[in-house]
Amino acid sequence: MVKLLDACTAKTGIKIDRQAVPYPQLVQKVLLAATSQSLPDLIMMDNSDVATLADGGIIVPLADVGISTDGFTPSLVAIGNYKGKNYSVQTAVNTLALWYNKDILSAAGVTPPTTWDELKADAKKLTTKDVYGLAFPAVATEEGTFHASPFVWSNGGDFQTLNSQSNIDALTYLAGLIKDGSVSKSAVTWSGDDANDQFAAGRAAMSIGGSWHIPQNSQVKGFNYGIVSIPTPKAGEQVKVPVGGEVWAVSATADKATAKTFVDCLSSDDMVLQWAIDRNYVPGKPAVLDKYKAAVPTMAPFISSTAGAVSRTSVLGTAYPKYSSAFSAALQAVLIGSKDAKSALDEAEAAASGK
Amino acid sequence: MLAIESVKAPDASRVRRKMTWKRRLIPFTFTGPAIIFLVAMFGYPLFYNVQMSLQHVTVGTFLTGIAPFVGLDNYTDLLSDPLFIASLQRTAVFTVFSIIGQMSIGMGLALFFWRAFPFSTAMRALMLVPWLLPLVVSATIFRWIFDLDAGILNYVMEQLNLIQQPIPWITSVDYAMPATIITNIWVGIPFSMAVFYSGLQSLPREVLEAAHLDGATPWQRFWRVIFPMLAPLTGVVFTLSVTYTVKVFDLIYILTAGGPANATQTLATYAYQLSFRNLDWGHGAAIGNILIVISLGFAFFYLRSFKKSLAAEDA
Repeated sequence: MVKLLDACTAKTGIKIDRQAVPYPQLVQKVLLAATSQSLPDLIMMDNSDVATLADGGIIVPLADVGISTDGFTPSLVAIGNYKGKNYSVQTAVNTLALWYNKDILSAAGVTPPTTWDELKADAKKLTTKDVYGLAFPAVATEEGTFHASPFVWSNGGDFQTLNSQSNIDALTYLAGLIKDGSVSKSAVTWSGDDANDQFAAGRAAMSIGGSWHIPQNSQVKGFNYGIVSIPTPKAGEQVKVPVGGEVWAVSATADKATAKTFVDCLSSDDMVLQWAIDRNYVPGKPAVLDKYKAAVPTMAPFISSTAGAVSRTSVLGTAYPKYSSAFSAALQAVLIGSKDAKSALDEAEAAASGK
Repeated sequence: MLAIESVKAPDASRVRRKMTWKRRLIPFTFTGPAIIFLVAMFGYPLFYNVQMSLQHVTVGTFLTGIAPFVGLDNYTDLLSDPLFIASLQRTAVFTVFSIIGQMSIGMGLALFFWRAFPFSTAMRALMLVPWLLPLVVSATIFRWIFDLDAGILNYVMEQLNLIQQPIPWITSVDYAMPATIITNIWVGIPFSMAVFYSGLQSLPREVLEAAHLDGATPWQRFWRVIFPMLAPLTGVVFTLSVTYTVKVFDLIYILTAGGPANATQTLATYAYQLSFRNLDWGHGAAIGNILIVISLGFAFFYLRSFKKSLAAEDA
C-alpha cells in the first residue's frame, strides 16, 4: 500500500498523508470526519460502501472530477455505479471461487464440479466420517450474504426481491447440501476465515472462499489445493459473483484537479498490474491481464469469474444492508432447517420492505 | 476595651460572611471536575442519543447536519417491528435465566468456600478466572466448546453416553439461547460468588452458633438465618447483575452474532445491527434509550435497597 502511494507521489509530486482505518470502522470514521469537516481527499474503501457514501453526498461522481473509466473491465466499472453514475475506480478487486483439496478429490476419483448437480453429487461422495464434502460461511453478518450471493445471482435471483422463486430455489439448494450431510450445520457460525480454516485443516474437501486466502493456504505444508469457478445451475453459464477489495473514490471536499492527477496515476496500467500482483487481486484493466496471468497463474479462475461481477448495492443503495440482514437471517433459518425457504424469505421480504 | 470590641465585631462578621461565601464554593471546587467530566462524557452522549432517536438520521446527516425531526416515530415504529418485540422478549429470557443461574451458583460456591479446607484459597482464586478473562476470549472459547462437530462438550457427553446425537448448541434456534445463557452464567458467577463470600465473612458468628446449638438443620440455617442477613447484599448483587446483563453485547456477538436466524438477537445486538449494519441510527438510538431506561429502573431500585441496607446497619 505504502509502496503504491510512494510510487505515485514520485510520479506526480503529490504527497499523501495516509490514514489506515480497520475495515469495519471505515464508514463510521468517514462519517465522523464529515461531521467535523475534515474529510480526506481520497477514500479507499470496500465497494459495498460506495452507495452509502454516494447517497450521503460524501463522495462525488467521477465525471465531476473528470476521471474516466475508459480501459476498465465493464463489469467492474458497474460495481462503482450508483443511480446511474460511477463513483469509484476499481483498479483491482478480489472475489470468490470454489477451492478444492486435490488429494481428497483424486483419492475419491472426483473431478472439480462445474454445475449445481455435480457439486451436490460430488460433495456427498466426498463426505466421510471426518471430512465434509463442502464448507461455506453462513454467519449472521454481511459475510453470510456475501458468500451466498453467487448462488442467488447465478440462479437469476437478486436481493431487491427477497422472496422470488429464484431465491427460494437457491436457498433450497444450499439447504439440501446440509440435509445431505455434505455441509456441516456449523456453517451458520462460520465467518469466511472459519470456513477456510475447516478447508485448510482437511475437514472439508471443498470450500467457497476468496482469493484473499491464497497467502494463508499456500503456507500450509503439504496442502495441495486447486481453485475453479463456483459451479452454476446449468453447464456453460457465466457465474455471477460479488467482489471485494478496495476501490478509490474522491470526497466532496477534495481539490478536484489534484485528486484526478493522483487517481489517474493509481489507475495507470503499471500501477494496476503491480497492485494486483502484490495483493492477489484481479486487475480491473483487460490491457494488463495477459501479463498478470503470466505472473500469477493461480488467479485464473478468479479472473474469469469477475466477468460476472455484480454489485450488491448499486440498485438498493442505502437500503441494501436492511435487505442483506433480513436475507442472512432467512439463510440461517433455512440452512438449520427451522423454516422452509419460501416462508423464511417471505418473512425476510416483509421485514426488509417494511410491509 | 469596649470600643475596640465594637470595632472588631463587624470585622469578624464580614470575615465570617466572606468565609461562608468561600466555604460554599469550596465543595464545588472538589466536585466541579467530576461534574464537568460527567456532563461531557455521560450527559452529552446521552442527550445526543435521545436527540438522535427523535430524528430521521441518514448518511447525509453526517455531512450536512440536517436530520428531520420525526417525534416519537422511531419508537412507535419499533412497537410494530416483530423483530424488536422478539428481541425484547429474548432479552428478558436471557436476563432472568442468567441472573438465576449466576446468583444461585455464586451463592452455592460462596457457601462452599466459606468453610476453609486445604487449598480452598487457591481454588477460590481460580474461580475468579472467568472474571479476569476478556469477554472476547471467553466467548471465542465457548464457541469452540459448543461446536457441533469438534466441540468438547458434545464429545464428552457422547463419551459418557448422555447423548446419542451431537447437540446443535449454537446451530439451532432451540439451543442457541440456552448456550448463550450458559456462557453468560459462567462469566457472571465469580462476581456474585465474591460478593456473597465477603458478605458471609462478615456475619456474626454468635448468631450462627446459636442456631446450630438450637438444632437448626443446615437447610433452616441457610433460609432462616444466613439468607435474611444477606438480603440487602442480595439486592445489590441482583440489581448490578441485571443492569450488566440486559446490555450484554460482545459475548453474544462473538458467540452467535445474534443468530442463527435471530435466535439470540437481544436488544443490545439488535440496536447494533440497526445502527452499524443497516445504518439506521434513529431506530438504533431509540433501542439504546429503551435499554438505558430499563437499566435506570433497576439502578433506582438498587439505590433504594442500598439506602435501606445503610439504614438497617445504623439501627
